Amino acid sequence: MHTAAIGIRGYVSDHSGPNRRLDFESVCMAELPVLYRVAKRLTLNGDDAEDLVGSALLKAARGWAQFDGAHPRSWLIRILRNEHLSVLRKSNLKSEATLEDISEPSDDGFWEEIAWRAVGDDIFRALDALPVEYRMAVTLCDVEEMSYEEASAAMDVPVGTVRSRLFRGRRLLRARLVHSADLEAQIEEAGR
Amino acid sequence: MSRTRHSEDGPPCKHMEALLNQAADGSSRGLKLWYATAHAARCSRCGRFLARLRETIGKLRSAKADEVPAAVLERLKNGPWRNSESEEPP
Repeated sequence: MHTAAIGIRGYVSDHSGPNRRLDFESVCMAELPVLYRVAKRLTLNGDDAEDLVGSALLKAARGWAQFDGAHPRSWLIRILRNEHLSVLRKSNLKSEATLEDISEPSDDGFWEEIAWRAVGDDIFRALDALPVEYRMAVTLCDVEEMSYEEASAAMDVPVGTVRSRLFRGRRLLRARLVHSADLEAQIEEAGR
Repeated sequence: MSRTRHSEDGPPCKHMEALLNQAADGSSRGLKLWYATAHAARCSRCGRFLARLRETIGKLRSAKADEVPAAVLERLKNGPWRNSESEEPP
């Protein structure tokens, strides 16, 4: 599984030296693609994701002095997630349905073969259709290749919760991919 | 080892689901990994489950490369966060 992209502990252990500002920039620069992808999974929109990353990094810059240096990716994603929730609250937008609000989605279809033309956009469309808790677990552990422990720190939930959301999320995602591949085949067939 | 005889359509053995997930994403090692893969080799449902998981995870990992447009990355790199810092916790 993934470990931090750079030798983070070494980079950030000295918060008081003249390189502190440089350390913060180095860490953030390395994590920008990850932060944007995670933000896009949260907001489901490229423009909003960009704004979210910008405001999360402003918060991170202000909190850098208090950061202990452990799991910087998880720390940044946790700020991103909190910022997203804060934006939703401020704008009185209803948060997405959570696991408590919805009935258990079906994973019928997991066992079917997929005609694997599903790539990139198809996969992320199917991922974005999952409830946010499953989506985040799959995004962090499978797309971003974070360990269960890093994902736990980022999502602010116990490791066991990450595991159960991840395992269930994978089955649901695969079932959705099967259904969308079936639909595509039917449309193609109808067009002949 | 002989293959377990049951229909290939259906869930994996209940006690194996977590181990198979961890074998599929590479987070298990040693005895846990061996046990999961050895079981999957003789149990058709678990074998199929493991193959499906590996395929799905592989697709997710390879799909991410296209996701961040260069222009967006450039704007993020030069955002206002680079000129802001204080001691206030986030």
